[in-house]
Amino acid sequence: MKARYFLILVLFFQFNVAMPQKPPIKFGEVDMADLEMTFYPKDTSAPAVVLCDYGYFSANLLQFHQIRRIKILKKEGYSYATYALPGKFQYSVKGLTINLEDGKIIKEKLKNESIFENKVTDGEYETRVAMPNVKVGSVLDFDFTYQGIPNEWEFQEKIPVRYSELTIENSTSIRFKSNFFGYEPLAVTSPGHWIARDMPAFKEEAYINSAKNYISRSEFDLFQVGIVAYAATWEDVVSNFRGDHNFLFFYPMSPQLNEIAKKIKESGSSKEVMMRDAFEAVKTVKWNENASVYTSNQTLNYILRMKIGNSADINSLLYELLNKLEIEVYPVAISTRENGTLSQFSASLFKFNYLLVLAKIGDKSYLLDATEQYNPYYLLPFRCLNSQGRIIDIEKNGWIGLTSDKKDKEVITYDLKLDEELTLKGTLSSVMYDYSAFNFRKAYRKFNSKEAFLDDYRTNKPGLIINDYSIENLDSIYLPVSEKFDITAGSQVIESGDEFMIIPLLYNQMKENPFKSETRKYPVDYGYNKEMVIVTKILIPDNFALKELPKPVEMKLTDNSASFRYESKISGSEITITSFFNINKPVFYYNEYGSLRNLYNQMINKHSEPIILKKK
Amino acid sequence: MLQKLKAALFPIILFSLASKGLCGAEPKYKVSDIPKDLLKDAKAVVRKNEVEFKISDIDKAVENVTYAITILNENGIDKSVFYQFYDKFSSVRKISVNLYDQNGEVIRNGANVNVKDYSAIAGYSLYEDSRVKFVDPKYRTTPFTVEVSYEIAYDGLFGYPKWHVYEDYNVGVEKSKLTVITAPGFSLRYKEFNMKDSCRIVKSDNKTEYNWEANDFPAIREEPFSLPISKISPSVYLAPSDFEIGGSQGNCESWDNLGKWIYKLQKDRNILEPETREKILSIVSGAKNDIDKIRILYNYLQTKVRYVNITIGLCGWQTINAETVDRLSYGDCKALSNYMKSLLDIVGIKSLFTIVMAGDDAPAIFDDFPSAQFNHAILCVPLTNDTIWLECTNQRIPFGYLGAFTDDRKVLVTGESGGSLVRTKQYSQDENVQIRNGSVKLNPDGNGESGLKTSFKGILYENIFPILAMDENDRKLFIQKQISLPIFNLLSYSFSEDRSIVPCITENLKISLPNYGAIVGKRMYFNPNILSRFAKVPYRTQERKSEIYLRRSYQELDTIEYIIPLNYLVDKLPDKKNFKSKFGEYSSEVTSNGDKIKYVRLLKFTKGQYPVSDYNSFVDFCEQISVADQGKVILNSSK
Repeated sequence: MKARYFLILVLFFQFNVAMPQKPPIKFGEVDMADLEMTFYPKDTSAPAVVLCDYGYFSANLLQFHQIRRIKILKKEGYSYATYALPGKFQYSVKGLTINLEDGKIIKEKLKNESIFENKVTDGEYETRVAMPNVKVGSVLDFDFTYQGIPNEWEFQEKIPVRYSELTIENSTSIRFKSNFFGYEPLAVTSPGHWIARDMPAFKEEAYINSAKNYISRSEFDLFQVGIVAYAATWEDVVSNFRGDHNFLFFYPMSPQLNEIAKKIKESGSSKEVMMRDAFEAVKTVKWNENASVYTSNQTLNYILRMKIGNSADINSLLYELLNKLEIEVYPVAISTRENGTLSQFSASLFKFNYLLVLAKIGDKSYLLDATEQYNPYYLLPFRCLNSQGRIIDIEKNGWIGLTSDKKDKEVITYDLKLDEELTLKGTLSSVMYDYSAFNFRKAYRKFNSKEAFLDDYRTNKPGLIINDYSIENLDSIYLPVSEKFDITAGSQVIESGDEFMIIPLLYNQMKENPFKSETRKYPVDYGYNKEMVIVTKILIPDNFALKELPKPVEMKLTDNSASFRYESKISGSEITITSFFNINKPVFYYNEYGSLRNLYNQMINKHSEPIILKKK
Repeated sequence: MLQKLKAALFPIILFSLASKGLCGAEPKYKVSDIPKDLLKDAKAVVRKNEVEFKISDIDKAVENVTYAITILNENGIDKSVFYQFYDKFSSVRKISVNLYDQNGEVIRNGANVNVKDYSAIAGYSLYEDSRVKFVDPKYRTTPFTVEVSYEIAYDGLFGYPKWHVYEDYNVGVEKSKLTVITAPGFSLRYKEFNMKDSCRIVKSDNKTEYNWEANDFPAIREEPFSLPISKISPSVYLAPSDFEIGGSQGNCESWDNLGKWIYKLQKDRNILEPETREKILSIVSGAKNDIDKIRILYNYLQTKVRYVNITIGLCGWQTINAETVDRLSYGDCKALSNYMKSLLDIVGIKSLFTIVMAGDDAPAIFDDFPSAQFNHAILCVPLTNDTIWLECTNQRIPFGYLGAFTDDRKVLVTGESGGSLVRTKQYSQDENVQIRNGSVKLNPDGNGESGLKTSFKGILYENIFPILAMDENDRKLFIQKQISLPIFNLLSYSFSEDRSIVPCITENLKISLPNYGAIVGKRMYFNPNILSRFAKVPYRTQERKSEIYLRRSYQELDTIEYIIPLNYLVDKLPDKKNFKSKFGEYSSEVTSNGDKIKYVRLLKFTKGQYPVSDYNSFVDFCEQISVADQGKVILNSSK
C-alpha cells in the first residue's frame, strides 16, 4: 500500500458542499477484458499493473475511502497481493480475489483468517493482509475506509498504473494543500481533484537525488484547521514554527552553556574564530542519526550533559551558543535529500525534517550544521545540499540556497623510478580537500587499524608492495588530509620484443564508466563539484629511450560545466603525465547526459593509453 | 505552560539526584585496565560475560546473563545496543543497563533504562510470534562501557542457549564464563568446539554445576575467504536429552528421536478434501512414471501457491493443515512442504519432510550433536535409483533444483520410523560451469563489435537467475551492471533456460566496443580476455589467522575469436600460461592464424578448507591468474 496516513483529532462542522465524485470502478465488478488480460500492452514485461486506484476524502465524515484494483500478470507480481496497512485492524476492509477459471468468474472473499494485526512496538500497530488464492491472472479488489487523510498519494509506482484518481474535499474549516512532484504529467489537475492515466513503472537510476523527487505523486499538508492557519503562506509557516514548543529549545537556560560561552569569549578572538570554537564545542554532543526540525522535548542542559541529540537538538544548541556570543543567528528549516525537495511555490509545514543555523558576521553568511564529527564549520553535509532552505525569522524570513562552494578535490602524485628489473619504485601521495577529505576520514575510521586499512587498499592490486605508509592531518579537520605511500609496483610493465609498455596512471586509472545506459530520464545529481588531479612522474633508466607518448587532449562541456585535460611531456629522462578532471556544477539534466557520459568515455580511453619505451 | 516547564525541569532534578546518589561509587571497567594485547584491531572489548543457565525441569529453565562491553570507537557503537529475542515460550525480564565513562565513573545507571519491545517480524513475513526486547543506551562519546544484566525465563524448552567466546569480529574478550546448573541426575548434553579447556563439573547433593571459562582473547579481524565467526570462535553448545515444549514431549539424544518428534508434529496434517484428491489424480493420470508424476505435481504446486511467511504454532516447527493451504493458496516453508507431501501421498509416492539449516554461507551443522540446528523445511522424495529434493517456497526454480540456499549440507530427513541425517545434492566442478564463446571483429580505428554466448550452469545458474523475473528495463540494467568493460554499448541480448535437474541459463549478447583496441603510434593493443578477468586477489599478509575456505568448486571456460583489421599484423601475443595448485588450475593460450586470433582460457577453483600456512600460496595463485588475465595482444600496422 502506497499511502501513508495521519489522523486528524479535531472535529469541525462547517463544510462546503463538494461535488461527490463517483468511483470509476465498482468493487467486485471487473471487465472481462481485464480478467482475460495476459500482459499489459503498454508495458509487456510488467509483473503486475494497478488497473485503478481511487481515493476520496470526505470532509464531512473526515474519512478516506480507497478502492484499489490490481492485476497480477506474473509470479513476480505476487508481492502486490500482500498489504501492510499502518495502525490497528480498525479499518473497514473488503477484499476480493477474482479469477477466471474455465471461462467462469470465481470470486473469493478476503476473510479475517488472512488479516493479521501485529503490534510493532508499544502503541504502534500494523495490519497485514494476504489476499487468498492469488494466481497469475488474478484481479484483486481492495476496498478500505478509515478516519483521516493520507499525507501522500503516489500516482506512479514501481509497477505501471493505468488509472489513478484522487479527490480531496475542501471545507471552510479544513483545507489541505497539495504539492505535486515528479516527471510524469497528470491528465487532470484541478483544485481538490487529480487524475493520472497510463503512468509508466518508476525505475531508479545511479547518481539520483531522492527518488521521491522524481516519482509522480502528491503530498498533502494540513493547511487550515478552523481559525488557526497552518501553512497557507510561508509567513504562516514561520509563525507556526516560532509558536511551537519544540522549535529550538523551549528551556534554553544552562549554566554549563554559559560557562562554555564565557571560555570562548575570554579567548578574545575575532567573531569568526569564536564561531568556529563554538561549532567545535557543540560537536562534543554526538548526533544520534535522527533527522528532525524539532528538538527532542528535552532541555538544552540535558542534551549538553547527555552528549547526544537529534539534528535539531545539536543545531539549536549551536544557535543558543552563538546567540550568547552575540553573533547574529537565524534558524533555517530544510528538507534533506532523502526527504525530497521543497516546493518553493507552495507553503508547507510538514515537509521540513532538519534544522540548520545561519550565522552572519559582517557581510558574510555561514550555514552551519554541527552533526558531523569530521566536518569543518564551512562544509555542509551532503544530505543538506538540497535546493533551498527557509529562514525561520519573522523579519528575515526568506529563502537561502543550500549549495556549497567547496569541492570534492583530490590530488594524486606518483613519483617513480623504473629499474632494470622493470619494477617501479618510489612514492605515491594523495592530498584530499573538503568533501574528499571528509569522505576519506569517514571511510578510514571504519577500519580498526592502519593494517586493516592497508590490507583493504592492497586488495585487487597485484604486484603492489607498500613499504611504508604515513598519514597527515587525519584529526586536523581544518587542514587537507594527506597520505604518503612508499611503493614498489611490479607487473606494470608489458614487454613486447625490445619495447616496453607502461600505463602511467597505474592504480588510479578510471576503469569503468558509471553511466552505462545510453540515455537517461532523470538528472545526474552529484551534490557538489569535483576535481581530480593525477600526476605521474617516471624516471627511466639511462639505457632506455622514449618511443611513444600518449598525446595531450582537452575536452570541455558547454559553459565548462565539466572538463577533462590530459598532458604528457618528457624532460631529460623524466616522463610526466597529468590528468585533470573537473565537474563544475552539481546537477546535469537529461539533455546534457550524453555529453557527460562521453566525457567519461574519453577519459577512460586516455587513461588506458600506455607509454612505450625502447632499449637503446 | 506550567506543565511544560515542569516537564522541562524534571530531568534536571532527576539528574542531579542521580549524580548525588552515585557519588563516591568505586570506578568500574576503567579503559586503562584493559590488557594492551586485547586492544589491537578492536572496536570493542568484552570486559566480562557471565551466563548462568539453570534448568529446573524438562520444560523450565532460567538464564541469567551479565555482561559488560567497552566501546572503543564509533565502529563499535552497535555493540552498545542490547537486544534479546523471545517468543511465547520465553520471557525476558529484570533488564538493567548501566553506562560508565572511560574512567569507570557512572554516566547513567539502570533506573532510567528505556526498554523497547518490538515485534521481531521479518520483512517478508506476514505474522510471527517472535518478539524482541531492545535497549539502545544512545551514547556516542567513545570510549565508554555498557553493563547489561537480564534474565530469561523459559516455559517450554527445545533449543538450549549456545555460548560463543567471540560473537563478532574486531571484539576482544577479557573474561567470559558459562555455568549450567541442573538437578542431580539430569542428563545435560553439551558440545565443546575449539575450546582449550574443557568443562569443570562440580556435583553436590542438590545440584550439578558445569563450568566453562575463557580469558584474554584478542580481537580477530575478518579475513577474506574465511569461515563464519561461529566456526572460528571457541564455543559450547548445549542440548537436552528429553524436552517438552507446548505440551509436546520429545527426545533429541539421537537424530532418529528428533526426527520422530518432528514427524509427529506434522502428522495427520496432510488431509485434503475429496474434490482435491480427484483433481490431483486426474492431473497425473497421463504420467508415464513416478518422476513424471512428481514433476507434474511440483509444477502444479508452483502455479497454485505462493510463499508467505506465517510463523505461528509450536516454536515454529508445526505446519498448518494441507487443507488450509489448498484453500488460501499460500503458506510458509513447512506448510508448503507439507502440502507438496500431501499431494504426493494422494498419488501414492512416499516423501519425507526434511529440516535444514539454510543459507548460502550457513555454518555446517554438528552432526555428532543432535539438537535444534535448523531454520527451514524442504521435501525429500526417495526413489529407487535417486533422491529428488524439492524446495517448495519458490515458484520459479526448476524441478529438483536446490541451489546455494540448501545444497551440499547435512539435513534431517524425518519419517514415521524416525529421522536421519542425509547430505543434499552437491553440485560438482563439472556441473558448476560457465562457458563463454564468442567473436570480436576489430576495425582499423580500434572499435570493435562482439557477439558473446555465455552459459551459466549448476550453482552459477543462480548468478543470472534473477533476470528471469525482471522486466525488460531491469534486465538491461542488470546486464549492463554485470559487464565490467570500461566502455561498451549493449546492442541486444537474449536468454534461454534449460530447466534440467542441473539447470542452465544461456545468455546471448551483442555489444559494441568503442576503442577496444587502443592505438598508440603504429600499434594497436587489446586484452583478449574480454569479460572473464579475475578480480578477487586478496591481500598478502604474514599474519593470517583463519583457514582458507572455498565453499564451492567451479570452472570457467572461454573461447573467443578475434578478427583483426586488414592492415594490421600480429606483433606479439601473450605467453601461454598453464599452472596448477591445490586450489585449482589455470591455463590460457592465444594463437593466430592469418587475420584470426584465438583465445582459450580455463580456470578451475576446487572447494575445500585449506590450512593457514597455505594462505600466501593462495594469494600467489590468485595473483598469477589476475596477471595472466591482463595479458595484451599487440598488433602492428603494416602501413
